[in-house]
Amino acid sequence: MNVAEKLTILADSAKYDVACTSSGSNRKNLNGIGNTVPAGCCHAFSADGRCISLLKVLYTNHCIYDCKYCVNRSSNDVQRTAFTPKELSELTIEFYRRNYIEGLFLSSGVMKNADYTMEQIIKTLEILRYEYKFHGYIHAKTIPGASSDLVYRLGILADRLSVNVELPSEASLNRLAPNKDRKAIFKPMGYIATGTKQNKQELALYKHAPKFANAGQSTQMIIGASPESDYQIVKLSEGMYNKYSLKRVFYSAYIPTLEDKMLPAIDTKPPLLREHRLYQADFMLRQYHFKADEILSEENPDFNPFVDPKCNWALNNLHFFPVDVNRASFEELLRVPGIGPTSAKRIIIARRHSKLTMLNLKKIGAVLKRARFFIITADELRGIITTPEITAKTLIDPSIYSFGVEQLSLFDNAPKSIDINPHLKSEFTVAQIASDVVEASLRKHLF
Amino acid sequence: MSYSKVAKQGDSLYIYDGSLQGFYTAIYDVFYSKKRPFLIVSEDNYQPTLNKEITVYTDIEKAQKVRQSIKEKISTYSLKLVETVFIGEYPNKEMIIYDYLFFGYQAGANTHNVLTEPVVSVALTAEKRILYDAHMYTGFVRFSDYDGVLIAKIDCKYFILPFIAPHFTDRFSEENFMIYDENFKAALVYKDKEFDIISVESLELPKESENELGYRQMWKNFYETIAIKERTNLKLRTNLMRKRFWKHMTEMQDEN
Repeated sequence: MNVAEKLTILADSAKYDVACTSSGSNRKNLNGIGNTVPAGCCHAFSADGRCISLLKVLYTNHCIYDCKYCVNRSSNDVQRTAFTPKELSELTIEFYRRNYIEGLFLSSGVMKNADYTMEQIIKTLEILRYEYKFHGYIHAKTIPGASSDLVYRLGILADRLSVNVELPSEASLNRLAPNKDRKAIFKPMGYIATGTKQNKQELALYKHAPKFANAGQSTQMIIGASPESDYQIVKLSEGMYNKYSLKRVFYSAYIPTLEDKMLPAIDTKPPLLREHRLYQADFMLRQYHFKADEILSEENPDFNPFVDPKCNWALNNLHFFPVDVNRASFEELLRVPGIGPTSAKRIIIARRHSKLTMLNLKKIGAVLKRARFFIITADELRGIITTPEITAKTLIDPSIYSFGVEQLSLFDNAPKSIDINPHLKSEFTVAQIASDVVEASLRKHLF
Repeated sequence: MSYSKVAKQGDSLYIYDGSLQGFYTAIYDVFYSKKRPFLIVSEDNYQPTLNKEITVYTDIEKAQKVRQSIKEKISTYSLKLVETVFIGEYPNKEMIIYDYLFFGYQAGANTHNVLTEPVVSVALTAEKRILYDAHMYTGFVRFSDYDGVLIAKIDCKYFILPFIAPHFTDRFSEENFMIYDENFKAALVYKDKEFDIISVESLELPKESENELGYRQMWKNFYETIAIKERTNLKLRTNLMRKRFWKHMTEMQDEN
């Protein structure tokens, strides 16, 4: 089998890995090839709209494990192959020279045992780093159950390490991935976290100490293959961010590729809206200073499908609003639906020079479509005409259309009646409007 | 705080030679005329009008003075912004910069923070768009290997070669490469660890080697394989990768 065929097979098996980020590392080229930039760089976008930044392949799709959800499970009848370290490193360099990619994302099935597979991965990266003098980005996956010194060696070679949590709870893991042990997953994650901490100290003492996974670690889990609630998932993410100082948690909507009694039926649509909501919540944790318990709760364990989680929080915490854009702190501004870090920063800069009115806000590039219901400006919102219908339609997240109406099943969670802003005196029912929206789009589909 | 001074609208047309020095000289002359010009235009873009025409003769000393005054009376950030917009060949760049500077000489060091002022936000948008395109091209340039020399073609809306030069010269410091911009008929050439931007009228490429075609095919296969069919979302892809970038991208050749 030649390299081209291997590439097709091993890229096909790797495509369900979500992470393709090349950010977080800043390194100049030193008489070799390649560098990394802190913001990362996307080199292409595939037909599903995902960014292609790294050459994402498996080292091999041979696997001793039999995880129910995985295309590479040992009981699945697919063509198996493996790269050699030489082939893969040459391919990476040739792609990199043509500016197709920003680096390598290397994951793998488990061949023979965890340590053996890790050694093959390490060998590949050593050829890249030492023979080709490759200074570009490398994201490597640690194999669950690998020993700590191999994880350490891998960390010296790679910019980012990741261990997949796979499923959001131990019960699901035991059910769907009977050979994997949850402890074996969290152990390497712990190694990496302590490794990074130690490395920080070493670097403070010795400038030229080798850097250990300087772009941190990330993880991913599959959504929709097991029965966990959104609240459990968000809680788990928050816990991992705090405990293992992860850079990112990725969520992957389960796409049925295999028939199994324990899995959702093969014609199930991937829960893309739910995945989208989870990413929104994840951003709230990382960039908007929210706590998991603010986003969801035991009583309200699932996302509202109609409005995004931040808007949902706002609708349930109306006492917090309206926020005065001329006085509010950065953190308060961040809590206004429709205002993100960029707009908040701009507001803070611009208001030093002039009182902010609605018109001024528009000029500085803040998006007011939803924010206008939650803020006070210097001109006290004069001139905005709105009816309860307009208000509700504006607040409903337009992305529900792009994911299709099939997924709108969590109807009862929609808030019943909302008085948005004392200035506006608008009362409306999101549920009511939402049902109109669904009906309208159904009508569009039928006729 | 308010800056109420507005330049009186004049009707002169200033013609300069197209260089940055020439433009700074024009700015010098314009400011001393105390009137907002009808237009400042380079020789290449000049079209006869009924306005009073003034030809600007490039004067290094005047240019230096203007450059220095932007740095001292406004800020180094503003100088960078002005030069980015100028070099990037943004449409109507001369008047955007003139308005920005007129406001800037009143507002001083904080100019680029007065976001509610239209002339400032227009200039900032111009800078943002140029740098956005430059950043996108650091990813979307596609090299081909011709006997060890890497050659790429691009077709840019703005003149971004100077902005991507440091990125590529660091990244491929041991290689010899060239990026040819069809639209501006210029090329970034990097040879023996030295780079230069030269004007190139047209570029004929030799036939690709077997090896090169092989890697192109592998990349195309990889590109197609990595997409998950169940999640196809072409609109999202176009949002993230505008069609104006597609022309010379290896994997997008069949998609146009």
